[in-house]
Amino acid sequence: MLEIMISIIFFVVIAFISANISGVLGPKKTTPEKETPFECGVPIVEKFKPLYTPHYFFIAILFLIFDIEAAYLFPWALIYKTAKNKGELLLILGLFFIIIVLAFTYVWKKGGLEWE
Amino acid sequence: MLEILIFAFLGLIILTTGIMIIVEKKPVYNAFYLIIALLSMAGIYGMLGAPFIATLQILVYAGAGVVLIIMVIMFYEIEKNSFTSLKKWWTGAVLLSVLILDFVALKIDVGFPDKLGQTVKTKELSMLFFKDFIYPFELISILILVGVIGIFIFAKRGKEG
Repeated sequence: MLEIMISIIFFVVIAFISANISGVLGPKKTTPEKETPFECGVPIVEKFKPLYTPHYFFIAILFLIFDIEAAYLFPWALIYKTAKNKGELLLILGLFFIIIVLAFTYVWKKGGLEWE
Repeated sequence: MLEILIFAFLGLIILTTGIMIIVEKKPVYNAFYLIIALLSMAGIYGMLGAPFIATLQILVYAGAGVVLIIMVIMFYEIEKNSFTSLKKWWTGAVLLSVLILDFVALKIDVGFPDKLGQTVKTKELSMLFFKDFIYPFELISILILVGVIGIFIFAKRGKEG
């Protein structure tokens, strides 16, 4: 319990430092011109609008699936250390992974991960 | 006494955030309150002696599920050309404190009430997974395979059409 608490505090401090250090140490000299998005020298025509392609969503759904797959590792990891039939357990999980990697390879080879 | 206190606190958080999900007008904040509600529910699962379900709740629902919701909000907000962000210091503080509360709840573990049924320990669950139900477990991977390929084909069709 105490280790968990200490590690949480440790990670929060590290994250806080790394998130803020560049803002503290970096030079800050801003002019209104510097804040405007780059428009090839001409004045800005319209409000800045970031572009997101629906491809992001595809990657997010892929992440969801691999997240669910990772969840099945927990019960496996719990019994693996004390199990007598380690080879069998490895085989079961290996087959599980091979089938999932097969799906991943299919998407990869078909160009699903390409960024157009 | 402590377990009742923590249970009441978690329940109060779930109720408040549940109401806030409906009441709040900014979509990003709705997603944020949903995360808090799901994390508090994970704490209650932890108290009931189901750490695996609690982990799934945090990993899959509060993690991946809400990522998808935030993705949709992102597209929606671009359409409306109005951006609301969660750049407030208290959002991180609330998330962190609920997570710490989850750890405390996991440690307390009052167990499932006997009158309602049997408690299944995570180890017994894994024994079930890898001894009695090996074939259904392998079938899950085939289900995931079909899911991945299905999403890919749908995404591709949407791009062409």
